Amino acid sequence: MLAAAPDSNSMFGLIHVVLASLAQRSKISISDSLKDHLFKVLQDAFAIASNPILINRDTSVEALELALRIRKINSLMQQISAIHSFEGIQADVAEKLLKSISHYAT
Amino acid sequence: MLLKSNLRLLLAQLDGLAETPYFSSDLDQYINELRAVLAELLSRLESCPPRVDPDLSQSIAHGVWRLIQFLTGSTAKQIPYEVVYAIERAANDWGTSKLLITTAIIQEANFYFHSIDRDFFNFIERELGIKINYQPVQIALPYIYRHKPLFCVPLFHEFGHFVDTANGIVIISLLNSSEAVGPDLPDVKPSSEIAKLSGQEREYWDSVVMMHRKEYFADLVSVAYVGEAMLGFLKEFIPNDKVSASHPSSVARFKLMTDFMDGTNNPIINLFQDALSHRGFPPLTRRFQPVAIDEIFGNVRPCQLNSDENVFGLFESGWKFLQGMVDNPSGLWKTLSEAEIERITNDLTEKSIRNRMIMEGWRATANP
Repeated sequence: MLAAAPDSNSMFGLIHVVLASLAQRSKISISDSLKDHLFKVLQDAFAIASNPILINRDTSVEALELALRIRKINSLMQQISAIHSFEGIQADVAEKLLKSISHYAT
Repeated sequence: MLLKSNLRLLLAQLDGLAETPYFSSDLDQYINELRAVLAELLSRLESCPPRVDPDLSQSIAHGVWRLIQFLTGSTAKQIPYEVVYAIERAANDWGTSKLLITTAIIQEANFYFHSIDRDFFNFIERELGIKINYQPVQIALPYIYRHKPLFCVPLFHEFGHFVDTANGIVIISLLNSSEAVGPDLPDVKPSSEIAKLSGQEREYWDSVVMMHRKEYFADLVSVAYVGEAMLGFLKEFIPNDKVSASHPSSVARFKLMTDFMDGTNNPIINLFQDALSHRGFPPLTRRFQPVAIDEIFGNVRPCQLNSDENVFGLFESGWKFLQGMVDNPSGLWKTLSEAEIERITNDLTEKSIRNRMIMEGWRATANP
């Protein structure tokens, strides 16, 4: 294989791109809609990881999958709890999130 | 340069596909929507300065490329239309979005499913202003089975993976009842022992539990629709597979499927039923009705299917008929070889479903 293939059934294709750019502090131009989307996924994932009873028919699959990845990483959960906007996602948190979604293939 | 070249090549491929009329107008529309995405992306990349980020474009291009992979079978007139029709009917049970079954024909002894998240399309709509109205269910099947509907029943297992992935069923099961809580899975380290692990070893067993739950759920969806046809096929396709990191053993899978069909209480089944309820879905139950085909198929005539439940039920009834005639041929079938029995039973199954498709199309035209 020429290069690492993306996980064919992962939901994180675009989120991965955005997180990688934040982690590397690259100057990728991210639209407001994608920023809003990532922040909402992060917020929902944090809420669900803290309390799975909040899952309902409208919860996005991305948020569910991210919740599954971050629920056991206490330090990351604490850092996410202090994020209140897309701009608040620091490079180290983006790095940890990237690591968590690369943990195992689904 | 390469990204733009790739987009041009993919667009040319889709343009070629769009020139051929297909069995499905939905497929035509879907292809045109993908063409519009590529054309818009290319236009934004070619403007100076580019009006879209190259990294995001790369990600979208890869996503569309993967979608096109599953159009090759759908547009080569080689797809098992009848089985795809049955799966489309099954898809009606699972949500309101317009599902489109797309297939890839492969030269290997395998079936698989490839997901695409609805959010990918939502993102394309927000970023590029192009709405893709279909959610593809992308499944691959062996070339030699394309006209063997009774041997295509694993596509219902692959459809089960779609139901899971599109709704996060196994993920919900894990959030509600983690690897360290159980229920214990056959041939897998007990949950009480997984709870004591950490680091890479814990990650490994968490992953094994997730993969096995995914396979069990897909198995349950398949037997809910095609019953013993799935179990019977698997017993011949993978009679003795041992447990692996990605799949439970054949024995464990057969046991769970049998428990479901017999209505035997099983905590693994209960786990998924609970997860389904979080998404507002009813519990998985038998979704098919067997069809009385012994006399009709015995006279080498296709049967009439009066409901979707009959369409699903024909797979189990057809499978049982095939097994019965191979083991103990009778009547007109007495002089036929095993190869002929297999071919004719599959043909009759295919024709029975095709007749229903034609009748349905006829009614839709007569009563628009």
